[in-house]
Amino acid sequence: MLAYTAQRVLSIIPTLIGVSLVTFGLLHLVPGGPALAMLGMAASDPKAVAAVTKELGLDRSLPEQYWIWLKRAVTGNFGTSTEFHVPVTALLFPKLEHTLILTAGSLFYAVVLGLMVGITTALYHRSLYDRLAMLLTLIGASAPVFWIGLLLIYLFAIRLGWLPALGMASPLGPPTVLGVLKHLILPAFANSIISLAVIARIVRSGMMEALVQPYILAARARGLPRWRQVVVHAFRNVLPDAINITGLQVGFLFGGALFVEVVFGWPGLGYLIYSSIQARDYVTLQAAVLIVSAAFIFVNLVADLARMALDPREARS
Amino acid sequence: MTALLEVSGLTVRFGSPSGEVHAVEDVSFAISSGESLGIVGESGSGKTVTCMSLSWLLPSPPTRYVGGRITFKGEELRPHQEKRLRHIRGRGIGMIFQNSRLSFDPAYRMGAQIAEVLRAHLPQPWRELRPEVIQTLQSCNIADAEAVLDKYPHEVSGGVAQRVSIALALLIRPDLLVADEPTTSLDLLSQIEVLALLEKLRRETGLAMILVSHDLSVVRRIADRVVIMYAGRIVEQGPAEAIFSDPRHPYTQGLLFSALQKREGGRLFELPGTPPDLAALPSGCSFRPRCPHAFAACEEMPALLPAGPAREARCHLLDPAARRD
Repeated sequence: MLAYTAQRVLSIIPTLIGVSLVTFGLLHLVPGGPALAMLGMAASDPKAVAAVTKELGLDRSLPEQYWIWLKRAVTGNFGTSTEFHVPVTALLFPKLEHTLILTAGSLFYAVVLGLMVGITTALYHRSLYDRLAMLLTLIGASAPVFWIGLLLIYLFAIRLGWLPALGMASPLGPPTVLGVLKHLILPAFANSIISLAVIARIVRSGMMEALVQPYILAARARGLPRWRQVVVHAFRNVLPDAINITGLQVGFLFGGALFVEVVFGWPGLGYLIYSSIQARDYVTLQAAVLIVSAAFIFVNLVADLARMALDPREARS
Repeated sequence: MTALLEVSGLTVRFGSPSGEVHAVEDVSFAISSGESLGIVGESGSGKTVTCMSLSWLLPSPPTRYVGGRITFKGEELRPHQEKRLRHIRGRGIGMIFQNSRLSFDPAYRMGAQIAEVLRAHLPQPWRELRPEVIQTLQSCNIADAEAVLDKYPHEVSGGVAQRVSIALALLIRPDLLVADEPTTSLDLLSQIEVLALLEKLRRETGLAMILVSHDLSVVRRIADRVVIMYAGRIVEQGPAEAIFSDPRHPYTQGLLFSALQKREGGRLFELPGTPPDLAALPSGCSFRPRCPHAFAACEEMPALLPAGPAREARCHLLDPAARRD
């Protein structure tokens, strides 16, 4: 376990270097180069372009530029946003926190609802409920998240008026925990659907297999109550698989959150990336992509290590 | 004397792709306190399903309980009454399965699983029960009882697992112990040990017992009375001694004859043919296609007819009015 942890942690270093190269290159892929992109309409003046090129250090060689950028990035200096005129760091980290809140909310739905649907459909498999639930998870997992998001907003926010449609807190008054949780319901659910379906299906098939094992019949014959047969015995044998699949979903939910944020106006990294692209704010975009990639790698690492610690079979080997 | 357990008209079916499987058809028998009953038949004869149905154990659906009345200690047990049945299972009717290692959850230690079952039935905490558990395990010939409690099911042998499951069944003090092929999956030495243990239990506790087996020698050692099943029906029942010395149904005769030949080392006698498909039973007597004595009357299913003191057999040969010719 210790050796695996060390190996797993060290292996993220080359990945991070690769990611930094790609995000650095991003700026140079812009048609006409970054200086032209930043100046926009003013780019018709060659003197202005030359001044900006010099100011940004774009007249130096690429490796030299990369090295300077990397040194600054490591110390947390990502430059100043060309759109908002504040240090990018001040912009990024609150957004990262918001994205992580959304990811956590999505994970909660995926696990709680996924287990509930998986276990109950296995218990009543082939029933109308089972068929309906499996059909719904199939549709939910196949439909694009922005479409599902719009449907949810239309139904629960506009038609029924139960939940807020957009944002993370009410614009009136200071944000409250309860308010954030209320705003979290729709986007987190929309983001969780695919993972929910995956977890439900894995748990369902595992439970169906476990429930017909001789030890369940024996538990019944020994007079154990039904819930013990189901939870203590059948589910216990499905648990390693459930943990495994959940671990794999964490990174996926983090990535999905970026898209969901745009649909629900959730002020996280995804929304920031979206608005940076629209505003051609490449400095912010570059830093945001780097942070997202690093967070994705980190979230996966944590999920992987947690899975190792919780799965007795993995721990033993 | 009223019977401890009375089964009448038990009929159990399953759906299958090739049609409805008639697993158990119109089975009736009774067992009194202290008695031991052997149920004998080939695989697919319905003996296991009969046992499982005593406390309506098989999940329904897919099992279809078509008919039958089961009275245990004067109380009628009905299917689907899970709350009531839970207290009958284990506490009233203890069960031992063919493969005991598989009857324990691989994820927990033996001790935890024993404790769990005891907690479901007995008021005392595990601490108080532990000495009795150790003692019962030892009386079931488990020498290192303490160590076995700390082991996972895959860490013990089949014979040890079978003896633990017998001890576990006994710890709840059931009125009736049902053992479904308890020796079949064991090696020869463990078979002898488990059989000796069951015999000892019979002698010392006078516990009522139903022993299911396809092995006549096993049943012969333990049973007072014997039920012979074929294709889901009882074909013969009566006192063990009488049936073993003078079988009246051609199927019982075939079974005994093949066992006898084996013992004398002669050429193996074989019942011709195979048991019928329970989803497509032949018309009339189910044994007719394999029966050396089949005649015209066998086109109709015979009833259980008296065949001596406290004996019955399902065969037209016993009906003087239906004699051949």
